[in-house]
Amino acid sequence: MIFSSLIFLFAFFPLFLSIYYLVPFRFKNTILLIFSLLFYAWGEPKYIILLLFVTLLNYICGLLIDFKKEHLLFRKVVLIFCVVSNLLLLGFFKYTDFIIENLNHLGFSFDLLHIVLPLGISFYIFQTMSYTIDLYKNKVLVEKNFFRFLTYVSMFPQLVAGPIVRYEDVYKELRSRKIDFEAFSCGVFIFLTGLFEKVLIANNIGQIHSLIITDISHISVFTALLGVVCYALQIYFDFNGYSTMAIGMGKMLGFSYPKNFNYPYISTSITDFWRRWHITLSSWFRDYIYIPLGGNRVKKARWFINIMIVWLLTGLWHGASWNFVIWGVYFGVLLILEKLVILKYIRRLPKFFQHFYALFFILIGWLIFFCDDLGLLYQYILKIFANGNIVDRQFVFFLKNYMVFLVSGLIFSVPIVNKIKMCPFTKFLIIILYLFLFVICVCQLSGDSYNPFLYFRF
Amino acid sequence: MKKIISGLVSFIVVLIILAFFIVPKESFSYNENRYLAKFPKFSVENVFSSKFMSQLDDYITDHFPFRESLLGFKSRVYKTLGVYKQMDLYYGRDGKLYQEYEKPSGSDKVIRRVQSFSEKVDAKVSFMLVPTSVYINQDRVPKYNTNYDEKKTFDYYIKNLDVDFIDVRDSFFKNKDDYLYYGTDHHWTTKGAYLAYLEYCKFAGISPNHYSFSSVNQHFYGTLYSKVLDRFLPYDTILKVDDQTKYKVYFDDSGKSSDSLYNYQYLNKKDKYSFFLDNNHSLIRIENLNTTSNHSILIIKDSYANSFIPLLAPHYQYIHVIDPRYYHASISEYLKENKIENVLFLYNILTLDDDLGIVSIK
Repeated sequence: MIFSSLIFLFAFFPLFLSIYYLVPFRFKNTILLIFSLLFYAWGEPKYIILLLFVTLLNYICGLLIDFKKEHLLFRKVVLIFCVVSNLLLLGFFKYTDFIIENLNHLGFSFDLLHIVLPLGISFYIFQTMSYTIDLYKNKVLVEKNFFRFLTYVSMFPQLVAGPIVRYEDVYKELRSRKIDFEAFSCGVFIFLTGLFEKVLIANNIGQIHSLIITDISHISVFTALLGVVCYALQIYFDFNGYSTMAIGMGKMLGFSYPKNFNYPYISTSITDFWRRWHITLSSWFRDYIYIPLGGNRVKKARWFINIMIVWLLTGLWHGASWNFVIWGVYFGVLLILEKLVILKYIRRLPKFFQHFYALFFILIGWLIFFCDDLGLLYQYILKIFANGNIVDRQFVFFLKNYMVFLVSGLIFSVPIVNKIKMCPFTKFLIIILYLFLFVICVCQLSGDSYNPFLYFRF
Repeated sequence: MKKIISGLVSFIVVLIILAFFIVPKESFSYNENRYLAKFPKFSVENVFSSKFMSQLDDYITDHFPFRESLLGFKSRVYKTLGVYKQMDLYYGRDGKLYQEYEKPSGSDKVIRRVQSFSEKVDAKVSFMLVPTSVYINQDRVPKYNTNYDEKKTFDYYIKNLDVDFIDVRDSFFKNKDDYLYYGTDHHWTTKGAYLAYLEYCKFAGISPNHYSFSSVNQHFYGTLYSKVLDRFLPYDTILKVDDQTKYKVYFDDSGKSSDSLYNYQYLNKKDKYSFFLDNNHSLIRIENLNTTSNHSILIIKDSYANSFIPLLAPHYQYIHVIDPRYYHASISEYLKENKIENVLFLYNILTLDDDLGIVSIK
């Protein structure tokens, strides 16, 4: 079930929310847990066992680490066991088929296992691991109540697509939290903003990208560039929209989840970009891999190796495919170069040039990201850099027909809107606008199953 | 502000949920021509295979209250915001809908099949390709579009297909300000068919009738409307020609027969174009009870021919109409058995490309 579906918006969530608000506080976690498990089971019921198993594993390891506080070796052994098991599970479900495919390229012939990736596994394994590691480092207190721990892991707003919430973020709120109309309406407002980003901007701009990518053999330079820009906008509004919806729902339930995006496309460097894009993921890698490896407080060569390890893993985290590996390495190299030379010089240049520099390399990054086949990547690069067809009708058509979505995408990628001064009139306008956009969203979603093409195929 | 928004949005959500239970549920969607999802069966097996959940999802989306009105509203709002192409339809400057013409992929297959058919049979074979509305009305369609150049397809057919080709384009371009195509349906109007009829008469050496037209229905929303459901679109009018000839019409697939080339019952239904020749049948035989002519013709066709045939009918003693999408027996045998001397292929260029019937005629 995705948040931007009619069944979620008009059945699951309203039902959950009304029960959640009606029951006394001590039952609220239980209701949240039941609905979260239901939410998880909706698409693929059997993997709920995996979710329970991972949770139980980290829960028990947590208890063990806490049990022998003074026995450092014991704690370490338990932690290593726990982390390795987590990673093995993630590796098995996410990378087995990828590894087999590559072994087969080298001459082996293993059968693919055709493993369906369990929903949200990359997110919840990172969450549970953060708990165990933090516990080992004495940064959080042990959770003795299994169901409360399970509630933390499975909370449906952030279960499948983040933000990656750490146990310390919600430790207090799991025990007591303020739920009132103020928080509810704030949450609804945030949720709606995310819904609009996802349904109205990402889904519509995504159409352009998928139209361009279906057949790139005759596209012009500008169409090819537009394809990359549209992908950048689509993935941002899709992901940020989803995170924003999660944060909004969190608010309605009384939780404050961490922010996941901070206008990534106004970055002035790649270093800056990764402080603004998928913040909870990059800070996870920073705190649980980069810093434990020694971070930058080591010799230069080691420091660069640390960076490359982190970015190789970041790439692989996004998916089991070579283009993600290249994508990760690409950013690793760029970040090293920035730390070595680029940042020193670019800081002296006008702001405009810094933005241009950052955006250029971010867009190249997205190109690598969406070309899941290296042949396609090569063809696409040729279309941009070695193509006699500079601009064509198709490009102008996309620009004109999707103007309203492209312009909104650009406007909401930069922090302009929150600079509007609030007065009664603007407030009134925003109310009208939000109601209108909500209705349009519902209209668009109700068209998902509408298929008039069957009509004259009879 | 946030409180007002959240209050009002919650209110809308509650209203919609209430409407979902109150508004009576349709089981059939006329605009989509399909049965809507039924409430899924609850069983342990269905739940564990998540079949129950996905069917429940379909059920809720299919029966969402005011679904079609909401979609129509969206189309209109998007059009107002400048989205002039929705799905494969362009909103024209004249407020009509124009269906996109994409690059064809099946031309060679069609040509090969028609060619070998025409060489096999002992009859005079002619081929008429009807241009699309978007091609004839280029100046009414937004300038920046993704249409394929239809002229190329015509040239390709004329060059590679060695049968008599009846080209109606000049006449259509000359009369493009007439009501030749419906604004909400993918067919031509009776006036469009009339132009084609004149061209056919010229080709066949028949002196054409000067028909007068009368309207039989002024509230027609066709297949293109069904895609956008935009209630702001103007209705189309269905015209028929005045013709006093008496016919006997045999529908071989259903075994029924009729005294009319029209079925008036369809005018009260959604699918009003089916008024012409009672929609598509595998084989229709039309016997002219008034004529002194002893000519006969076989028309191999798609639904465009349905409004064309009534115009041609007075000139022949027998008209045989075969729709190869439904007629799977040998057409050449049929020609021989019935001693038919003329064959006309009548197709519109858009649906011809993926018509599964014509590429398997025997």
